[in-house]
Amino acid sequence: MRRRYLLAVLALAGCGREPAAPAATIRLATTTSTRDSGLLDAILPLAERDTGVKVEVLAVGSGQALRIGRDGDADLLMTHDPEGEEEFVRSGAGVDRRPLMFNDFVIAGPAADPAKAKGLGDAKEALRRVAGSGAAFLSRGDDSGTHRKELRLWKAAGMDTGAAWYRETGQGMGATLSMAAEIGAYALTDRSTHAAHAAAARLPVLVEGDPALRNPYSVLLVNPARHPHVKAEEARRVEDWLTGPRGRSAIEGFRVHGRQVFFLLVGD
Amino acid sequence: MSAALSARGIRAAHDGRTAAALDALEVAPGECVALVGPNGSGKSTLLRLLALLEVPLCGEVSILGIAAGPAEADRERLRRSVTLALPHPWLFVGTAIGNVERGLAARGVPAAERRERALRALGDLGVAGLAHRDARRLSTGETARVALARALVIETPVLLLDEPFAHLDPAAVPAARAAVERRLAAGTAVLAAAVDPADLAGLAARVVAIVPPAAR
Amino acid sequence: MTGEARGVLDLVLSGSPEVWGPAGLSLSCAAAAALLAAPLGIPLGMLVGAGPQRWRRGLRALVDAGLAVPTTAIALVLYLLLSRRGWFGEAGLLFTPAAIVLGQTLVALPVIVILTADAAASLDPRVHWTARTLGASGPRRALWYAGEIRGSLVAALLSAFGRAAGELGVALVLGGNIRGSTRTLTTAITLETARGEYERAVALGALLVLFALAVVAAVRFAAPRRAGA
Repeated sequence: MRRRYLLAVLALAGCGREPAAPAATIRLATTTSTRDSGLLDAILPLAERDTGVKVEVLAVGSGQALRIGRDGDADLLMTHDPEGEEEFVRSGAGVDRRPLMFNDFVIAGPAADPAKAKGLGDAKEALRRVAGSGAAFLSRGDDSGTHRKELRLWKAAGMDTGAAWYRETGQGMGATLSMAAEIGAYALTDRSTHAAHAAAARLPVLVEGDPALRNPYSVLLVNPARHPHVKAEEARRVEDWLTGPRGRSAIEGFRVHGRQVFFLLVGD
Repeated sequence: MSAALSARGIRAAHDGRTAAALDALEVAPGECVALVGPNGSGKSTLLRLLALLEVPLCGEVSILGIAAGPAEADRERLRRSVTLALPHPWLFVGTAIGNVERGLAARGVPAAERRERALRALGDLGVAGLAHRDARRLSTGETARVALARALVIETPVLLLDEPFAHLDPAAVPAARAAVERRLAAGTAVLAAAVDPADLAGLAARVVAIVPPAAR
Repeated sequence: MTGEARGVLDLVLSGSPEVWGPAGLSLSCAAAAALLAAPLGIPLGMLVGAGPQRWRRGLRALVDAGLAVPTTAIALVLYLLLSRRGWFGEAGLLFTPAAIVLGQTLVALPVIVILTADAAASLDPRVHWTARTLGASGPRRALWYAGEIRGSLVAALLSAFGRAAGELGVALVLGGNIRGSTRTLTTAITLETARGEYERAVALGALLVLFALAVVAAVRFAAPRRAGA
């Protein structure tokens, strides 16, 4: 009686999943931008077909992705935080860091553009104008790669972000953009998420092209020497695919509303 | 012969007022004593105290010569020698016969024997036909008879009956009385409570009158 | 019917896996959680509601406290325990449905205990007297009482199920909202709202509300005489 009960319970817990997962499954911890842009949805099925490895996507901020890697709760990482990634490898938490691609950040804002930032080629100057205009600026404030990038830009612009017009949402890019569109605020966003976001029409791109806005992504393996349970062999296969000819052509061919948003990095 | 049931100096209280009082009582094996008093005199409270279902404010209850102390474990053991039939009985979910078997099941009587004894007990009270009916759907009179069968079938040395015949159809009373008489003949000590002593005439050898506490 | 409303209806009726996948996971995890919490919660509830006096008040305070703990706090504690560097890291449960079930079981437990306790405490005193006089020991009495409040017990399980299915903190933090694996109705709604995909969010939300209403209806059916039901 008791055994039947337990079996029923376990069966219930398992029955929400999709049927028949392939032989190997790895967990990829990545940022919300790669998920929200639709890139992973487009290229991972191709990777799965070629490598036989299914990839579970755990999308969090870059900061949390690196921490999850450090804790050993994922097998592969794809992040866009070069300083954090270097520290990650230096500390022995990760191995085999390979640059993969870049997308760029843009500054989006209300169509009315009270800060007159539209068309500027200098991100720092644009931020100064936003600060001076009294319009609101929404930051993710979640220690993600985007957030850290944004903070570096403010610092380079010599601005202090403690004032009332600067607000932190503590959430992902998509949520932040939704809120910015609602209240008519400016925000720093990666182009891919913005292009894929339904609110893009109400929050157009105003500032782009500044080299300072480039956003490089890398893939890294969680160090199997530190976390023996990690599926290192399968993770390496996926990493090889991503940085190999097939993966690179898939990334290059990815379009959002007709635009290419991710660009290949020639290897270091 | 020593008393199967004895009580001394019992006082019970409800909300600070004396709810029931009994100075002295003894019931010998095979004897039937009637506890008589008007409504509100505390008969039901006293029966519950004698059944060890509640603890009195003061006084002592002894079953088969063993005094009932405050320790719950001891009381539980002693309770197995006395059964109380409530005036407005509660039947559990399930069938009538399922109810009658409960007390036997609690004592570890095997299934086949339980069923046989339960059927016989229901038959003694003229309700064998109700055995597999839903206990919740019985009439007041049927409920009373099934509950009585449930109390009698356990055959404890002491039996307490609170208004046993009050809700029975007159036609059903003789069978019920006969069933109680059979227990008496087997040596059970019976204490029965009623408002009207005539209810227990011919059954009870002695009458103990209970006076409402306010009148004392 | 407006274009958006039609879009929502299409999403739901077409059996889209983006909608029904999370629905299935929400239901199965919440059901598993309620069923896992029951064998512990019901006896505990009987103890709190109808057990020996000295246990009751302390236990009740404990359980009330349990109900007051926010689900995000439960999620955080479990996250630290289930992470690979946590005490139970070996099991590799974090970011799997099993972790969600574990968290939701803790969410369901106080609900079951309190509803069972309330039902047990409102048992007619005749039930207690009859059970005792028939010679039933403690555990057997608990079993008989449970039989008498069967309807309320079912209602308690349904309520716990409803609470687990509708909560977000545990599912998000312990599951990770992984597509095809740990994405529940609530976490999917969060995601689709964040993406601005309001049609999808509404479709998911409609299902969630539908399930909640079904639970309410089922509770009324199971325990129709409960006060305030």
